[in-house]
Amino acid sequence: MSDSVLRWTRPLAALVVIFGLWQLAGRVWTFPGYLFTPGEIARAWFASLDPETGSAVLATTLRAVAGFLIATAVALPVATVAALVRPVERILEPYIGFFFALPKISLLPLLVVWLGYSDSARITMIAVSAFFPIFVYMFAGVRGINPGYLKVASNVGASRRERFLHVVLPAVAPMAMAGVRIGVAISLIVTFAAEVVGQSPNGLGRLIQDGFSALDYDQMYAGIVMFALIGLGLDMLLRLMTRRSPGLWGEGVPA
Amino acid sequence: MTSPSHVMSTTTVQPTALRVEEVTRTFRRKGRNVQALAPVSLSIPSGQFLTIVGPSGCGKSTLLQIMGGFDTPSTGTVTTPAGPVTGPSRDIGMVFQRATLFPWWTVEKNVAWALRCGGTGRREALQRSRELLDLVGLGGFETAYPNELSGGMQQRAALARTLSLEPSVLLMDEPFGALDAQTRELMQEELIRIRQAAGTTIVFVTHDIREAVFLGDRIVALSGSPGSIALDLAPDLPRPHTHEVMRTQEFLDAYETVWACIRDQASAREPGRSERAAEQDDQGESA
Ligand SMILES: Nc1ncnc2c1ncn2[C@@H]1O[C@H](COP(=O)(O)OP(=O)(O)OP(=O)(O)O)[C@@H](O)[C@H]1O
Ligand SMILES: [Mg+2]
Repeated sequence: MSDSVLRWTRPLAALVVIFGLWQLAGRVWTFPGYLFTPGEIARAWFASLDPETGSAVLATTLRAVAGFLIATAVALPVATVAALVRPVERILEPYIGFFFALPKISLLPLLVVWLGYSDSARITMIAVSAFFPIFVYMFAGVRGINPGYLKVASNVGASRRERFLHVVLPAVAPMAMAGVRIGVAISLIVTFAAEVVGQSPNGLGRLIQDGFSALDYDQMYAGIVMFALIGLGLDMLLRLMTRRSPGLWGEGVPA
Repeated sequence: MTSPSHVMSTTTVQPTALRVEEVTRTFRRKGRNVQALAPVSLSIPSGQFLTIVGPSGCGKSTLLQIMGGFDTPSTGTVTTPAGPVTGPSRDIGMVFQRATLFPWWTVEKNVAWALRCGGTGRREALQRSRELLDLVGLGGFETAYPNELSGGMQQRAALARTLSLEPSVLLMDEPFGALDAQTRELMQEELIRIRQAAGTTIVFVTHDIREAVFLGDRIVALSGSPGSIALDLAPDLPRPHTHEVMRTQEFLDAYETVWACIRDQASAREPGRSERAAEQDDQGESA
């Protein structure tokens, strides 16, 4: 069997075994109504495939992606400048230190006071939360560039442009990607919280919350699976980008 | 010629390729000043193959970095015929002690990039890159990524990249340390060929006294803490170089002189060390 086949079959086999045991346990003991077997979850998920759920998935994905993109667009350049320019680092340091450990979700009520129960408030919430991991990784990445690379660049007489595009950017790429992937995960987590606490009229958070209020377990399970699928999809998208130039991402990103 | 068969090399008519004058280097570490180099002066004639030996931590890399403009001396100057060295340039090529190939490119792209930065066209750069990789014995590995190569192969690819600059001075910091004996001999002979073909001035740092004496027209031994020149030797060995030379009396004499100098330093630094232990090291080294 080839390596690539093994890579897929092993985790798949593990999945089948775990789900099989879980399903079996559901047969042997009678689970309470809120505890589903894999079969029931699958059934609930299939049953939920309608335009209404589709629009919830779309709304949630758009919020998560919007917040994530804003966070990335701000974090990457700001971290680069902070890592390269000492005074900027000194100015930013206390704020980063203060906000990094703060549970960002605690800002949501404040944001709602400012911006109302709106998507502005929710997306700001997501962006602020995703900003920090991306910033911290990017900062460490730029700081950690092998000084030997920069020496080589000056030895071969690279221009500023060549130095930045061909040395600095690829050198930080693995760390930037690690930060971005964590940023995506955080965005999704916070999207749920922002939809529920932020009283979103739509989205998966709303769907799950409604299911909770109505004791509709099918709807809750379906929403959770959808959330997982969005996360999986976004992460796969990122990893697809890293496939294209194997040397660039080194061993920093598990394939 | 009778032993000791060496002369000081400063009496040369060749123009000077690199002049190091009263260079010192002091680092700040944990609030203390640590002097890595005591005043060092060296005049390296054009086309000379200079080897530098010395114990670990004695300042060999520091001196080489300063020669290449990668580090600034605390006091003193480095000059070339073109003027003082104020920063790195393509004219002084460096092969660093640690691997510095860019892992995001294939080996041939790494070398080609160095050429592209010097204004060579894309196709010509790739062509020349392959020739150079062939020269250092990496034919067939052009499209490999650096992390798919062994340490010694990476070091040879880095050498190819530096050779692509066609520098007038080539600085090499323990470039063959990771190579097996045969490959190392091949690389040594290749280096001598390159030097003869291009007239490149070479400063070559190594731990290996045998290598230093074999390669060097001139051997400088540094003593440590702070680094200063303990020995400056230009043995009159039969040329052209082949490994046959290692059996000549002149080679053995020069080897013994350098070894004695380094052994003296080692025992001076560690007063508790017995002569017998030093002698055992001697045998270990020449075995
Ligand atoms: N950036 C630095 N900061 C502080 N101290 C340094 C720095 N670089 C070198 N040193 C010190 O300078 C001394 C000489 O170091 P150097 O790297 O030149 O030694 P070396 O002779 O090349 O050793 P080796 O053979 O192990 O490579 C050492 O004591 C080292 O600790
Ligand atoms: Mg060194």
